[in-house]
Amino acid sequence: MEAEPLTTPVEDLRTTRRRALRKVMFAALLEVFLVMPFVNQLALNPTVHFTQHGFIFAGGVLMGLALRDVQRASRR
Amino acid sequence: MGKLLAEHWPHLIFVLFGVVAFFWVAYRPGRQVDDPPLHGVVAMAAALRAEASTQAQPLAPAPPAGTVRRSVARRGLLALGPLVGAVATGGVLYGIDVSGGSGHEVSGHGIPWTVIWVHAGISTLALLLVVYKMAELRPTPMTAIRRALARDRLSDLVSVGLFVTTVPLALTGAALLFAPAAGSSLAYIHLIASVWWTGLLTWHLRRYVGASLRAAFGSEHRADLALERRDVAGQDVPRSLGVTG
Repeated sequence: MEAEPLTTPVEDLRTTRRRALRKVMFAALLEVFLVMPFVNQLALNPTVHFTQHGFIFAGGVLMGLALRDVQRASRR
Repeated sequence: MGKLLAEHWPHLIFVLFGVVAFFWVAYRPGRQVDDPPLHGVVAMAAALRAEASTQAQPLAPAPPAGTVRRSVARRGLLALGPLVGAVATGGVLYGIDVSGGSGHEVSGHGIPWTVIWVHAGISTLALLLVVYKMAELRPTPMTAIRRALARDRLSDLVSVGLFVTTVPLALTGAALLFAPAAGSSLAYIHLIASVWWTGLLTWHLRRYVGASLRAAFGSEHRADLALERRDVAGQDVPRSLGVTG
């Protein structure tokens, strides 16, 4: 049975950083998309309005999670 | 694009702040073991930061995360009720606003003044109690903030973020009392700042409420003794602090 290749802490850190960066980029794009004029136009409907705000909130949470991940990884 | 920025700049500023904070935490030069050597201004900034860090902690290493002095814990718990009240009444205000007003228009924008003043009163009380709590931080609140930045611990940074977010929240809140307008930039900044503030407050409470309850209602002096690094017996220190004795 072949042993799993071990990763170094630096590689782990790079991987975590890359994943966190993807999360932040996705969250930022999501937030910008959700305040674009055509979404705002659609958000005149209350259901769309609250869905829009729910996703905006989720984007903020995602950004916080990415920050937490990268902070934890860099302190290890 | 111009319209987007003009209309939503308060929202986008918070997003930008989040992205900048991420890059600062993740890619700050000199932070990682595999970073290239520093040069010029960046090296100078890193040296200054290291110097500030050593100056900020001259006596002892940082106490364990989530530990609270008894007096600070008591003051913090005192502020907890009004803080939750401020969030709740803010939620009621937002609910009335998005549902198109209460039908008892008094303030000129569909929201009764009573609700506005209750929210303002509870929020002011919460703010005063938080200031009262911060006054108990030792040696001074500013030193505590500087230490938090030097220590680079996420829970401390969240507390600083909470403090910083309180400033636009309080300023726009005060301005809205004089010029209430549901659709104005002030109201928009206040709303967005309040959501970020609530998120940070939740994070802060998740980290510190348990520790504060233990410190405030635990046996006499336990948490304080541990934080002051005095020679204490094992039974004097909460188990969660992990101090053997």
